[in-house]
Amino acid sequence: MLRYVLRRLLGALPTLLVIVTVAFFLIRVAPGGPFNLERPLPPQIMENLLAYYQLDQPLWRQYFNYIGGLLTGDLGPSYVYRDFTVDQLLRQGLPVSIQLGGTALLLAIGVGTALGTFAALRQNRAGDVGVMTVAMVGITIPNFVMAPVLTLIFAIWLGWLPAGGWGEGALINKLLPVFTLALPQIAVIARLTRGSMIEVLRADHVRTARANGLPPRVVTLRALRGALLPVVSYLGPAAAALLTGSVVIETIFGIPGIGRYFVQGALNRDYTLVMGTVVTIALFIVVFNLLVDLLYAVLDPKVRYD
Amino acid sequence: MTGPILEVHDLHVRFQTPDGEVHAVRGVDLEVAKGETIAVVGESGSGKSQIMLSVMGLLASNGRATGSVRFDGNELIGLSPKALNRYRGVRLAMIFQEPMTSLDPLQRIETQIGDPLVFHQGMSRAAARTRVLELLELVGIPRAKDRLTAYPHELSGGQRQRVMIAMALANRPDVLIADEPTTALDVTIQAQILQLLRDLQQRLGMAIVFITHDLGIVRHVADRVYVMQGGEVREHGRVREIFEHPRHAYTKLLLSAEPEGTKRPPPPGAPMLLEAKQVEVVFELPKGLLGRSKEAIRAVDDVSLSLREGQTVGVVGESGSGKSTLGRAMLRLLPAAGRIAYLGRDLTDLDQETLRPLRRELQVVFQDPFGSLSPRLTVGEIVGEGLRVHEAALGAAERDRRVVEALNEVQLEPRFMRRFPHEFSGGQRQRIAIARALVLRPRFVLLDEPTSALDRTIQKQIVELLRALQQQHKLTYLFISHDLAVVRAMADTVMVMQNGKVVEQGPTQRIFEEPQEDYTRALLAAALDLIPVNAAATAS
Amino acid sequence: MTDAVVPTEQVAGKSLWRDAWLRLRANRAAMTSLFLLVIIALACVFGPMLSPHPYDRVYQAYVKVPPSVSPRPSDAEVERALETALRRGGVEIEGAVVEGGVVQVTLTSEREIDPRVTRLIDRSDVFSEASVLSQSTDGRRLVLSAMVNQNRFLMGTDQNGRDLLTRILIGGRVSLTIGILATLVALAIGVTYGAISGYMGGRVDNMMMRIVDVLYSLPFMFFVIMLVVFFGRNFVLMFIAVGAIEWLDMARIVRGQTLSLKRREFVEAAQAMGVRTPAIIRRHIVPNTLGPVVVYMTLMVPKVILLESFLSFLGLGVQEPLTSWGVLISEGAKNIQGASWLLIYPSLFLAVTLFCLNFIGDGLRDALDPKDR
Repeated sequence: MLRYVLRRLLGALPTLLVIVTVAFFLIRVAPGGPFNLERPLPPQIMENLLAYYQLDQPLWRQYFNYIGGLLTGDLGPSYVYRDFTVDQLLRQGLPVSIQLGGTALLLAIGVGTALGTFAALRQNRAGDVGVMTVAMVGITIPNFVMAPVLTLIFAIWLGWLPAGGWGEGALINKLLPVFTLALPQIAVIARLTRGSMIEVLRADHVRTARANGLPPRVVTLRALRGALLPVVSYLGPAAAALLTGSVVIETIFGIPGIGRYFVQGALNRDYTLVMGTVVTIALFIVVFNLLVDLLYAVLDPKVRYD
Repeated sequence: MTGPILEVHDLHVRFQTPDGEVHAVRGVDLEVAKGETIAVVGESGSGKSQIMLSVMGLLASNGRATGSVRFDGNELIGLSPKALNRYRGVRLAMIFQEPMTSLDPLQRIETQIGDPLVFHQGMSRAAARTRVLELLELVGIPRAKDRLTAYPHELSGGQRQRVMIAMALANRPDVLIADEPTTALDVTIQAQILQLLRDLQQRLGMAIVFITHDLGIVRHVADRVYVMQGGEVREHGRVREIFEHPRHAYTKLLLSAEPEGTKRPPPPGAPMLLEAKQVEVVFELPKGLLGRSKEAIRAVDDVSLSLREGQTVGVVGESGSGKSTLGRAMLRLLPAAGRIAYLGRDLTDLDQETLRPLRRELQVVFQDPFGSLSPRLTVGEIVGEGLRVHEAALGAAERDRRVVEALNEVQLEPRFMRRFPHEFSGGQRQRIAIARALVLRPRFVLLDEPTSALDRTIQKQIVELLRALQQQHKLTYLFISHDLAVVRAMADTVMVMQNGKVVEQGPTQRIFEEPQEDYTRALLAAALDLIPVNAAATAS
Repeated sequence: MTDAVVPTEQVAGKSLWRDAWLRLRANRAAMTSLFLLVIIALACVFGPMLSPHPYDRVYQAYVKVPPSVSPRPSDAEVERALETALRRGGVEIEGAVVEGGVVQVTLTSEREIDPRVTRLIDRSDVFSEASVLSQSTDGRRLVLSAMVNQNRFLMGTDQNGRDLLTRILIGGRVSLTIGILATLVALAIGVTYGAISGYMGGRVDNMMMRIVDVLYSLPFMFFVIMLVVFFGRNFVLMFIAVGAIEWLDMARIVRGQTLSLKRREFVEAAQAMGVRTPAIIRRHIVPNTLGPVVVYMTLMVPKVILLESFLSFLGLGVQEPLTSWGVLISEGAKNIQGASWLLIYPSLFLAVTLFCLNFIGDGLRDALDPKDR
């Protein structure tokens, strides 16, 4: 088991290297640079800035410098937030994003599987149609529409919740963003659960359980365990995406997470900041895919790692 | 003997489908006395399984049963699942055809067998364990203690069916319904499971309802039999009476459905067509899911065989014996070591490109008539595909003419050319597959279990068709089958395989009448004479 | 057997596609969706041609007017429009009467009124063909008449005074084109790649899937944003590129299908027949993977449309005066207080389209998979 984990993590290193390399050169080839402001800087200052950040060196040397820094855990300075290193920015933002995304993830798993099971047990009846319609709404309404609408209703008309801000992570500030973030995921998980649950309920071994007169509750729970397998494999990428922050939610609700850095960094050519977020996201994807595979082994005895 | 324990009266089962209502069971009456064994026999689609699924309240959600099912005097039709659970798994139990899928792949054996005890008797898991061990020993699973923590995928097919039986017997039911319990198993395992069920019945005294298509099983295990066709009972009565004096035409047809006759031997001095020497096929299996080290399996191990023009060689063996792999290796559909020569020309060194012109003379018909035809092509396209490859110069009209000719030969109406495979029955599809092989006028045809997925009455027709075609076109067959009755009717010589090796080889008559090896004897005994005739069934 | 003749009377078979279509037709939700979707698509294609308002025409007199079925201007708006038009004319409006689409205005001033004041009025969107009826002898009093242009804004106007309905339809063209284009690109790449990888198997398959895995781990948004940077605002090119990224799932689906199809006996039968590999993939593999692929396609179009709207939210959308549903929605979200129709109507169009596509996708899945019966 431990050997398997180690082997997988080692196996991910080449993947990570490819990602870092591709991202590095892609953003460098892109036109523009971090100091190309609307009003051009005097050439002398520009030159100094480039020299200070070693951006005047040949690209390949910058690349090896960056990789070298990465190996020692140094993500470099941010070119736009000049008083901070990328490391500091991520350290501040990541816990906020993880907290928000983690809560949304848990909510989505709990509510999504419950709704999906509920619908599957009432296939094609009113309850099923109702749940699936709501799920469809969750999938089709973009979160940047949902967020202002919810703000309008709960913050401005009813005045129950704050319209935005992080409030040092107070519960009341989290409600709207967590819900908005979780809604599409609830919908997807509910649909996935329903689909695979219907399939499992039709399986031969469920018929065996019924033939043996097991209580319906037990039959359902046993079937759910099998039905969750496809949901689990969906959760890997979904969790990585949720935990690394959402640009939309963070912008609309004014939350200091890392989702914004990614887009802002790319648009401002803040090379190191973009690279920092890319590395973070790729790491999350690798780790969560591994976690999913391990969880799979727990759920499905046929999968073994030794 | 008191009144019947299970009584079915005027049972109808209807399914609502998008294509209209299907009336699967049409007014069936049936009864089971305490401790007796009955068989419900019929071909696929006769509605035999649906009767027992309605008894258990397990019909698919679009199905509805009307009429009456009385168990020990209590009406079961219309009961809620909760009320049904007073009987299911307690006094009424059922086992199914597919031991591979009928057990929950995610639960341990102990849990699954213990379930009926825990949920019906309120036993604790710990208390149930002793009983589960007893049950495992009862159904003859060795090292029962070690098996408790096993998952279904760690057991063989036969063992899984034993586990199913243990589960069904946990609460000592009055009636055990067995829906084709041995169909998915190899013949030797089949015999063991039937023997087990017979022993258990004698020890526990329950009634057994067999649902089967196999008259051999009926003859050997049942007291009484119900013959079903088209959702109705055609005839019922004591087994011996029905077998000796069938009254209904359908029963007579079923009873005479065993393939008959033998093949006329090829003329002496017929040229050698296909010759294989020391063929070996090795599969490398990755060890574990992601492991690097590989494990090798010798699927075919040092097999030699020769076919003369007009000859049929039968290859028999149980699943995993390597017989199908051998067939594919002979046609170079798989990489194999050894020498395979066609008309003296060595095939083993040819690449696929040089092999292609030879392929038109070496054809194949597969087992599964549902899987062997491309579902999105028309019959005409399927049969004509070989012509596109090997006679590319042929115009469309000429190609159609050849297709029609081939369809005529397999006795299919040529006007079905524009139809799609899913619109045909199993037997018709197998005819299409044969037409596809024939259209190229081959000299050798590999027949890989061509009759195994078909009902007995259809099997007989296909066997006769294949024999007639062989006669007419001087075809040479390599006939692979696990069905000894069919092999006896088809082959000149027989080769018995086990674990990739040849156990015994010789003229058909000699193999069937004087088998030399123990394994051959066991196979023949299991297949043709399942178990000694049931004393209870005949003592009437 | 020599007299075998192709029979003239053929029994045409029911292909699996036709079978699926018959089942789909019985699915009311899917058929309603299909109908609605066709209507929306037709409206987006032909609507802007029929609309009285060009999509980029700015009506300065009607900024952010709410939706209404009755024609504008109302009497009050006529007065307001007159005031705006004559603001720099140095005249007082003594009275105005609207009758039968013609307004009669009486103007007074301290000084003599220049008759060219009609030009000021003509410049407004609301009036045309202004002409002087009479002028008092001292020239300080002038009566003029002008045609009142009647305009309907069924869904109101945006913050620049453009007709929202026309803009939604134009936006629909952009959004639907993008969705379909990107999906087709993804389809072509994904099906080819997946079928080859699955059919070849072994080392080739390993290599090809390894590449897919690496691409999967690349943050998707990074790619998209980089694409915007590279292609600038050339939306069509950009979404061809998005399609070129989105093929990963398609490739996986097709590969999985191919792996199981490869083991089916009809493929083996074709091999035994000597059919060449490309022909096997084309005739036997690809047609049989199309079921799940079609379903996935109908679910991918909405995904791409949503992605486009997300980019618009980030301010990376199509450039003015062209628009898309995403652009309209993100502008609407900014105006949610006071001009809620700017959010509601585009959202409605987007949501209905996505709903329809999803229902059709689900319906197709059921229709193509008879297991559900």
